[in-house]
Amino acid sequence: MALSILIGEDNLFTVKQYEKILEKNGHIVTVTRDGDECVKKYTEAMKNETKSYPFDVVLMDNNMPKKSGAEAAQEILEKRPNQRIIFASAYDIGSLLNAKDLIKKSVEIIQKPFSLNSLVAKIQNRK
Amino acid sequence: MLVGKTKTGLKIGGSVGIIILLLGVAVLFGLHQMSKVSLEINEISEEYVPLTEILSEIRLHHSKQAQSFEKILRLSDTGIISEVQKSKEEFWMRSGNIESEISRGKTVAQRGIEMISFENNDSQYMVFFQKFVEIERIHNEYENTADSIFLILGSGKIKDVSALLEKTDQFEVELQSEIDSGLKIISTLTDYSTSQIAANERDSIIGQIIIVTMVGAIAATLGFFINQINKDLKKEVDSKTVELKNANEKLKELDRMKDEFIGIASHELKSPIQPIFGFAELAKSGDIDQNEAWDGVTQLAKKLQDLANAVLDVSKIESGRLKLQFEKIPINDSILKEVNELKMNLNQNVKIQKNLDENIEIEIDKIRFGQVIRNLLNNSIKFTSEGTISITTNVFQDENKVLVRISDSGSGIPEDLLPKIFEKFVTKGKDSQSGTGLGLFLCKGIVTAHGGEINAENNLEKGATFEFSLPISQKSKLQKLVKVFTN
Repeated sequence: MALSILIGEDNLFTVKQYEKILEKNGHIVTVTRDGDECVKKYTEAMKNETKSYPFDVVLMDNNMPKKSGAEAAQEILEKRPNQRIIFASAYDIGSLLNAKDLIKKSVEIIQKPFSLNSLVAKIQNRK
Repeated sequence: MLVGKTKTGLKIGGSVGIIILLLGVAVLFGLHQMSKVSLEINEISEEYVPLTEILSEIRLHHSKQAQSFEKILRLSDTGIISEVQKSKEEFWMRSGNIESEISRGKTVAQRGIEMISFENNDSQYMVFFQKFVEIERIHNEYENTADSIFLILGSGKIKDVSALLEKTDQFEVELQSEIDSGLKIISTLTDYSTSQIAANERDSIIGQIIIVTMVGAIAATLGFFINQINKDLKKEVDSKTVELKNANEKLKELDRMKDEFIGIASHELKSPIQPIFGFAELAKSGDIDQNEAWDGVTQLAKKLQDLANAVLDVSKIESGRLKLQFEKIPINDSILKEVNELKMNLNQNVKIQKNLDENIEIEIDKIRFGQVIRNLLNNSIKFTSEGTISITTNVFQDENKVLVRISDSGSGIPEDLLPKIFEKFVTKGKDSQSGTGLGLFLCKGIVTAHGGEINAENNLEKGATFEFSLPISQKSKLQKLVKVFTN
């Protein structure tokens, strides 16, 4: 089943790789390069879509300029509390969980580095 | 502090010495007084008491002798020969006693003359000796006269003995007088001795009280000095404790900073690894163009290499182990080398402008200097999408200084970052592809190690300017001192 995925990632190479693997698996990918842009895109999509959730999955890097992934996630969850968010983080998972109290049940974490296929599996598994 | 301690140490040692000395003096003084006292007592027991006894005995014996004499005189009339004889025996026996006492008296007087004493007692015992000699004379005359009377009475002749009796009476008076005066002298001497004993004992006590009081005072002073040392030591301990505490705080802070750096550095190292894996995966599955994949991997590997080197350099700078190889290099040549390399990859819209002063020889580490120029130029290029980057040098020979200025017309440095611009991992560009986040930190470290200074500021119009100074020659010791103090 084709999923609509919003990506927040500032590394150009990583972004291209996410696009390639996800599109190969038949998903629709929307790319943003920082936290700010990510929230903006999400908000826009909320207005346009007829579906209650504009994106099936939001894939977020934690370390981004302008706004961090955690902040962007918090804003998105305030609008849609059950939005599925996946964090791609190079930090220790534990410290991320303890750091922000915003992380709720609908948030998952995948620790860098990970293989692209495992990312795809994770995204597709939940559905 | 050491001098103070030595002085106090001397004071304490001196005080203890004086205390011991005074106690010794007290003991000696006591002994001295005691010996005086014992000599007095000795004199009393060896001399005064025996002399008194002797004189009393002489008096006693003489009175008995006189009694016998009276008896003889009375009995002569009655004519009882046996009684008279008995009394005569008695008379002469007493005579013997008296003579022996006189002899004893002389001996005692002689002993007194030879006795060691504090006062010159020779004279007084000479007097006594003479006195006994005199008593002996009187006694002999008395007895001679008495004997004459006995003869007359025994012969039966009627003769007038009243004249002779008068003589004996007189001799008795003289005798008593001598004895009396002798006893009086002894009494006076004894009183004097007793008072001397009292005086000596009193002096002894007073002297010892004085000395003990002095000892007490000195001991108190000693206590004071020791307390002083204690206080000084405590002060020193307290100040050292504060020093240690401060040093500890500093160490804790450094430790925290190190941990933070390690945290960030390891994160930065991990981030190129993700796309490298990605490229490998996609290339293997054929979902990406080979060239694109390998170019990407190469680029990422280079970034990792740069970061690894930068981290190593950071560690060297922080622990002061950055080794510089100084050579005399023409400064402009070095600068131009870097500029020309960078020009090749330059955006069309960006120009590099050079305003270089005299191409003097400057004592630098060629590679590290190049690293600084490259870093600063790269920064300028990164943040300038279009415009001019200018590099300027100024030589100040008399001040042993060269100023290098790199200015751009780009986006400038965010105001909140400007104060921290030379710290680690502060710069976060919009494109995290290039840059290690350590470039400016390394520039500062290298410039400082050369004995120079580096500054950054935003231009009034557009962009930012980085300016650093370097000494032309490293030989100046003053330079090195300045470096130490300004760090």
